Amino acid sequence: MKKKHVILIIILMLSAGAGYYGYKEFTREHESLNETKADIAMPSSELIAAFTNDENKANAQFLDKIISVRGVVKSVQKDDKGLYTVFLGSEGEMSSVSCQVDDKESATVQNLKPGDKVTFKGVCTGMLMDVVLIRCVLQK
Amino acid sequence: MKNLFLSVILITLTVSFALGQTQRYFTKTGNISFFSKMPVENIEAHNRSATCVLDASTGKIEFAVLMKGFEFEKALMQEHFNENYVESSKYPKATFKGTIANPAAVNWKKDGTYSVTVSGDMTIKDRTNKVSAPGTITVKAGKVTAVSTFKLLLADYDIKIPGAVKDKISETIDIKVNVELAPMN
Repeated sequence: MKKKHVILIIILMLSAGAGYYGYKEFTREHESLNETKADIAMPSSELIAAFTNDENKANAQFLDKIISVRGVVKSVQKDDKGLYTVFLGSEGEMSSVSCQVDDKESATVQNLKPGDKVTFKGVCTGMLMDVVLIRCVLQK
Repeated sequence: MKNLFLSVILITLTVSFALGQTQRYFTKTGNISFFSKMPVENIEAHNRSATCVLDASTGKIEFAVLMKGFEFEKALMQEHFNENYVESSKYPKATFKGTIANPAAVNWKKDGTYSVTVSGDMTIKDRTNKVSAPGTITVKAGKVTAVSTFKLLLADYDIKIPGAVKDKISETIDIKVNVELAPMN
């Protein structure tokens, strides 16, 4: 009788644990990249060159990777919702690295100006006109 | 008389040059989102790094978007979207190449909101289909905003819904496009 109770309690605890885990997993939100280490660190010009030279190879190498990219601010854009995108590169180059700044990090980039030397950490999503990094955070 | 003749030619040339000049507009930070109502939870994702190039003289309009740039509130949903539904590592981009069916309806030089119909080829997961959608173009202080909402059938792009969630996920999805374009020099 007592043994049965113990087993029942264990089963209940296990299923509660599984349910809790499932719920947590299902509702999990994105972590800020502030807490995450970069997979690769490189200058913006190298990242752009990798994609312009061989896009398929660059996709295989960089997609979904957290990249810490350093470069010079070419321009800063703020959209109507107050979200920022910071472009790294030089005036002469066709392409830049487009750093889509994390919603929660807007305040950290609002004073950036063209010419500033910065390092952004973000997740690489590929290349259109620019190489795009999303969820970017400014590194100190 | 000769002078008058010359002036007429000059004016004609100037006018035709002004009309024939191709004015192009573009953005690298266009918004594209999709939305689908589900009984338990809505599926919603936003992408704010779509590119769009619009040629005002021909009405040609092209969009490109990186599939991995669609952000969901829930991380797990985003992982499922990328891995199981759109296979974004294999097919990183989606594109649309089309034309405004009635470009004459838009006065690019005058502030206002104009109704247009855009049709062309939508490519997702390497599958291309004809798509036609209504939209509006707003001209304001030299900037052009293009907005459209339309539906896509997932099966057209080989996006398969797993059996277990088949009756929970809608077969069509609402796409919302909102791009603010600046003149390209």
